[in-house]
Amino acid sequence: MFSAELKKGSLELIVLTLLDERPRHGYEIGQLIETRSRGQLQFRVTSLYPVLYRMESRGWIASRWVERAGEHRRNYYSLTAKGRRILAEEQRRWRAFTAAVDLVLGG
Amino acid sequence: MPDFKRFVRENLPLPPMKRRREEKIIEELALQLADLYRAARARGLDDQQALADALGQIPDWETFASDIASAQRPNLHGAGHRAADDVDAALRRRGGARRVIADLGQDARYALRTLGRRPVFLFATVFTLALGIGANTAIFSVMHAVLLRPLPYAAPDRLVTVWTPWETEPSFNPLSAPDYRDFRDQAAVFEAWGAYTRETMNLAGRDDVVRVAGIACTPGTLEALGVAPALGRLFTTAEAEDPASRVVVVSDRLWRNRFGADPALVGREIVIDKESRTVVGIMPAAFRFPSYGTLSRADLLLPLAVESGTPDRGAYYLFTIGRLREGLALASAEAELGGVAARLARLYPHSNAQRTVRIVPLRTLVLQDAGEQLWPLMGATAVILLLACLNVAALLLARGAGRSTESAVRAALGAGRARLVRQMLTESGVIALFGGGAGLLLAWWGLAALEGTMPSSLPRLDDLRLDGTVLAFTLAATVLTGLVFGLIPAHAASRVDVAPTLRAGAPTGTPGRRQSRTLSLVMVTQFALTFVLANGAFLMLRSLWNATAIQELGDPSHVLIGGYTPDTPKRDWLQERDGFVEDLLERLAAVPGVEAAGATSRLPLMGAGWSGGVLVEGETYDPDTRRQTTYYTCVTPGWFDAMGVRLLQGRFLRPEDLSEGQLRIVVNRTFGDASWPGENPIGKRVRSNSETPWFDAVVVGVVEDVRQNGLEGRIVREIYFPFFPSFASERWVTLRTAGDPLGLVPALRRELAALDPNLALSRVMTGADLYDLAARGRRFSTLLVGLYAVVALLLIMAGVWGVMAFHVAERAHEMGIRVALGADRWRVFGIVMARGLRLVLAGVAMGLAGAAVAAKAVGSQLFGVGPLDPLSLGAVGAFLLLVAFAATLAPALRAVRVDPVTAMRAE
Repeated sequence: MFSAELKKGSLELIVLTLLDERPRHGYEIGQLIETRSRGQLQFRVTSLYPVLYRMESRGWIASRWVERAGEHRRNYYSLTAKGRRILAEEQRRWRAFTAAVDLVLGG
Repeated sequence: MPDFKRFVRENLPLPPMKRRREEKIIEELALQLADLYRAARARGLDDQQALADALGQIPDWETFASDIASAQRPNLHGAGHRAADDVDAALRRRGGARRVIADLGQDARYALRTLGRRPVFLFATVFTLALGIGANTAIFSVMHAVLLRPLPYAAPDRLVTVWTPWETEPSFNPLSAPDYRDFRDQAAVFEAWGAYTRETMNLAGRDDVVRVAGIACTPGTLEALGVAPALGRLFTTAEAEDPASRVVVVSDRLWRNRFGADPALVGREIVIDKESRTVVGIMPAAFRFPSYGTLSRADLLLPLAVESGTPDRGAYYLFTIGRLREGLALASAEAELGGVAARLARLYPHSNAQRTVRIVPLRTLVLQDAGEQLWPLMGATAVILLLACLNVAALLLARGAGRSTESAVRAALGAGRARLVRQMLTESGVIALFGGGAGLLLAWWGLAALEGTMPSSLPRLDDLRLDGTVLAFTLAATVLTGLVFGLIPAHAASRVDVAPTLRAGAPTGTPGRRQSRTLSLVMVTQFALTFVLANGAFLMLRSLWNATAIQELGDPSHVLIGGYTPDTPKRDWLQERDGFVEDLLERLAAVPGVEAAGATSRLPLMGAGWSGGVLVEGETYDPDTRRQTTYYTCVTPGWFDAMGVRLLQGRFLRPEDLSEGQLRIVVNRTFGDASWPGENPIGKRVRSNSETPWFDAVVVGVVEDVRQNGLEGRIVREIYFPFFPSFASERWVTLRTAGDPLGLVPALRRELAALDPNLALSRVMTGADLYDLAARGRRFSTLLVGLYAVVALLLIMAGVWGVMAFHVAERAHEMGIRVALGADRWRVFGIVMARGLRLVLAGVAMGLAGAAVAAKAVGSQLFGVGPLDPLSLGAVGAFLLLVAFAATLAPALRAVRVDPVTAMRAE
């Protein structure tokens, strides 16, 4: 599997990307990462939430409680304008980085 | 579905933050765990497996909490933040001091958080500890003030007093003036040495006269103490020996109260005992003069002449204080003075044969038996603290049992045992700190409340306060306490066996067998300590009863006593009638309401005074034979009736017993029985034990013994002389009335002033006050030990009740099964009761051993009852059984009512 460092470096980008589609709650984010990566990426609660809280306190994402009939209320996270800018920047950097690494590896 | 919200709240040691933020995090994480749990169940895992699966997401709650904490800090420096975070995390992982401190802070916050959610538990533990720590702080501050501080003099360790007792009777016999001069001139053991006498003096003011305590001393006395005046100077040796010098040094208190703190007092004349004297100096406020059993305020310091003192080597009236030469051992000093004493014994056999020299450290003289009084009290107080510790430990254990699932989960998920123990210790530390703080408040309040009941027999109590040393003691006691009551449950918890606790199925409330055993041991120890305390209290109570039950004087509550000191105490032992006293009593007898009036030179119960050896008919004077000490008391004829002393044989004294050429006396029962066993003492002759008898008298009456040295002192032989101006300078007027004796005070004051306006009346009290004063020390310690015993009993009742209730709850399932299988309900009742009684019986057995160990320390504090008294041991044992029975009853009845269906469904 992937090293913790590698995973850790990408988590912010992953979360931002998922939230770019629509607001989601914490459990959903965790599940989505696992299913979309076909089980190859798994983040524990202890890694995911500190990242969410850090991005929230930096103002990249915002959260609010939403109640739906017949369900527990849940805390939904969504991107802020600043978050969108960061996402664009991070995506650009990630692509540049992976492209650079691919060049070296001879892809 | 487990209550995840509560679980997160109790396990996640979040840093302080806004309440809404905190609630959000807790709720969100709880929902996350609930989702994980539900998903795991959906995959087909059973309840326990699903729980472990969900909780497996958070292997270390502390690290998780600190990660969340650092995420709360908005990091504005873009990429830089990550490096900083990484360094932070690496440091945390790598350990070291920073980690320990961070953990400690976390643990403390966690402890505060959990405790805050259990206010009743917190109050119970803090209050229990406050009782223990408060009592210890209060008693320690007394010990510190009385025993532990050095005396307030220069080089206090080298200060000693010198006495010349008889070889056969080691007593505090003062020195005669010629002996003092010989010791001073022939031995070089002191750096400074001086002699003094105590005098009570009448100090005249503008319109009134007050009686003040004075010390007449040689300058050497003050030099030995190393004291200096605050203003002016002390007197010189030349002044001391010159009767015309008439100088005086006054105390700070007198200077402030009588002379308005006027600095110009130095150099002015004041009138003492109708004699004008020049004030040359004023002592500092802290100055105290040492004396037997106390450091007293001396308001006047007068010079004492020893060169011109009485040449009689049999007149022992000089007390001494000396500072030993540096490096000189007490024994060698005593040996050197002993050489002088032996020389004097050869030269002056009539006065000095068989007399030796004894050096007593000043400290010993001042403190007396204060140590014997206080150390057992301190011990009893420490026992209370230990009991409080054990009680809190039991509470923590019982609660810890409820948390053992939590501990097991955390242990299973990787929290180290050391970490768990540290967390529990931090919690006890927090409780201990609260307890210590509350204890300090309690001590401060308690000392103020106790101040009125403190016995005057304890020296230096006027300087009682909670100072740095006392605070340090409280802190040490607090830390020690936290360790003691924290380690017991922590030790038990650290041994939590992970597998069975998780497997057992019951999510909470099933303690390990080990915790149960520890709990039983704690209970047994508590019973044992309570037994020792209660036994001590019972014995103290019986001693108090023994000491106060006897009242040899008829109805002392109708007796008024007032003292005065005539201006010039006569030292010539003139056997003449005292016209002043006779006039005064004649006037007082005429006051309406006075049934009997008398005067005495010594009050009952108030200790030794003038005494000597007596020869009875048939005995001859022999300087080498020491006679038993006999107390000499001068009384007027009416005194026996006024004081209520019972006549056994013959008659009381009459006015003519002094004046008709033949001195006639009354003796006490002990004197009669010892001198003429089986014979009638009336008509027998006695004389003083000296070469030329200074008295020769006939016994005309025998009266009942009256205790002289406190309520518990041995009765001494006593002779009642008719009243003459004796060696004893004090006069005590005694009046008996049918009504309230204090109603006679104005009349007494008026009649005394009518005869001599320069005499001050002092120490006015009733006969009942006299007994009260004498019982004060014993009443104080009995009150304290009794209070401790009550506290101990309350603690143990609460403890037994709690532990047995816990025990019943713990075994409700088993009992349900028993009942379901057809067991008699009363058999279940019997099982619970038997367990409670087994604990108390084991405790009493251990307590008996404890009482035997404590017997030696307690024995010296008892009166009329032994330290291992079967009646007391039996009664206290039976009482404890009763207490345990009562406390076990409610839980046992609950066990009987256990519904088998409910109990088994709880599984």
